[in-house]
Amino acid sequence: MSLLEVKDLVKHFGGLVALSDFGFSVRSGEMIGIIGPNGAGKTTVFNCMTGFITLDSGSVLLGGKRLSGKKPYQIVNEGLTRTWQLVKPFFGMKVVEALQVPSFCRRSRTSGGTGRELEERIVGITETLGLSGQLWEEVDNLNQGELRLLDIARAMVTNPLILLLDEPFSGLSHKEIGRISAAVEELNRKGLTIIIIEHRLRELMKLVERVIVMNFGRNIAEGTPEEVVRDPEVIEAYLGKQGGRIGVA
Amino acid sequence: MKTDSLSSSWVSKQSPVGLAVLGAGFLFAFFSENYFYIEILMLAAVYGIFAMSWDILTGYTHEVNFGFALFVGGAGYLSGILNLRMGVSPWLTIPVGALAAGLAGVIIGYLTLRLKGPYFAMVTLAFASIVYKLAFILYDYTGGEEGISGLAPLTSDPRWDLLAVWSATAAVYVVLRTYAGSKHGHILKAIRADEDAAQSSGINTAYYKIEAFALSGFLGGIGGGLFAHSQMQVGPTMLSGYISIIVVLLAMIGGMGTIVGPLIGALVLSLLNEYLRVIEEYRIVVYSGLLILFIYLAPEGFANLGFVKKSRVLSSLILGERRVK
Repeated sequence: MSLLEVKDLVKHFGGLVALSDFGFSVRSGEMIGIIGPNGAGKTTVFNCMTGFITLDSGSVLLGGKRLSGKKPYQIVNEGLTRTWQLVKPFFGMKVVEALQVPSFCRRSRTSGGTGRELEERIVGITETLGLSGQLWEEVDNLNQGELRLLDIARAMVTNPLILLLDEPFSGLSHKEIGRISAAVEELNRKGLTIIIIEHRLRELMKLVERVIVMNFGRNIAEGTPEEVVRDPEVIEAYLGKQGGRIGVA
Repeated sequence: MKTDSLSSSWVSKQSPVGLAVLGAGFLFAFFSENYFYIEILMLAAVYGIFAMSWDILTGYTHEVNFGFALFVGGAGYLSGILNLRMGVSPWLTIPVGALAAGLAGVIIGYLTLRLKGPYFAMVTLAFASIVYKLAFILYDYTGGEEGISGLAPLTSDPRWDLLAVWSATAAVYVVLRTYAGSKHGHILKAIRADEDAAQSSGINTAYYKIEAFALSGFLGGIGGGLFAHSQMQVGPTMLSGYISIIVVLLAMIGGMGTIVGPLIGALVLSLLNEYLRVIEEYRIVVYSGLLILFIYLAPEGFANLGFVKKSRVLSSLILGERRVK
């Protein structure tokens, strides 16, 4: 049975159709990718799922419970949380203080422990993500890779059922991508369901079991990484009618 | 692995300088018999309440409230009218006026939830302007341009008045420092850094912003009521842009987002303003010039100066922040 069901999402921005009957489902413990050319509507999907944009129609169900129509903080408290394409750190705080913010949310307090238990969980998350050495560092002093990890750590403190990662490799070096990939793999190995939007296909395909390809707000292909890179419609979406080969090998 | 800062105690978050200033005020109130100084200090303490109350919203969320006079004047008028027309004691009318200001904070907070930056500032200014105009329109109740005078004093002795006002200042300080050091203040700082990130951390940011607005209004209203009864009158000036702007300046120069900075800023600048009366007509020129100089020297306020925040000793003495590494 699916943990998450996204059904027939429709979103218009004026005359622009951002999402057109877009949908997919995810099983518990799965790690999937959403790819597509610029402007395909990938981030709009995350924004609609997490309540930052109101849907025109369609529904998002988490464990059978309807999320669409709820406010962003309510959706987080149901267990669906996200990171951002452009990282949104809590500048002016220490890392440990920034991670304290999500610990105040209802889900973190009721299902993630309180007091010393919660503090130990925060420390555990930073250790899993390789951020424990920066726990007392000012957020302002972190590099881009560490900011991405902090964004993931912030999301993890909410104790999510599903984690949405919006371009986690964007703007990072190969070394930093390796660090993030290892952290994401570790989270998934521990049972977390993860959905990743990413442009860096080579790195993404190594991580995920299944890929959904979007273009013009529609689902144009779905399958294993090997299947989708051979799909003619996907090739056309990325490379035009002349075709070619998507560089993921 | 150290995690002690997550649960640091109330005492460890206090500013020794802030507490020392409050203690000095109490000593002065107990021992001074100079009524001129008592009057000046009372005025400075009331401005301290205004600046601290303004700071809990604007200093912690960076949404600039340019209509703070609405809370001050609105509560002052309500307290004055209830006292004068119904003969109710100021000790009851002041909290009633403050509650009304807190309620106004909830309403304005709700209506301005989606506004940011200059749009937020202008709408708060507009609300205050409406109430300012109402003070002239509702002449029968407010006394129009002349306001209403003959309000009951807080006590029969100015020294006891000062003690009462200073006690209120100390109480407002403790409430706001405690609030700011709690999860509520921490969440406001997160909203200031990035509201979307706070929401995606599962935080109901609207609730906390409205709560801060209400607290700011309620405590500003306490200050407004004390101001009205310590002066035994209330007039449209209390609702005017002058009050709103001066409160912004006092808090900015002291250091926004610290509570202690606006308190000390308000005390020092209010005292300075009164002492400059010796230079008569040049007072406003010199005072304004000094304000510009202070803003030039410390754009983020004296409590937020770089060397204060970086120094373990100064940050713990002034801000009450432990620099844990």
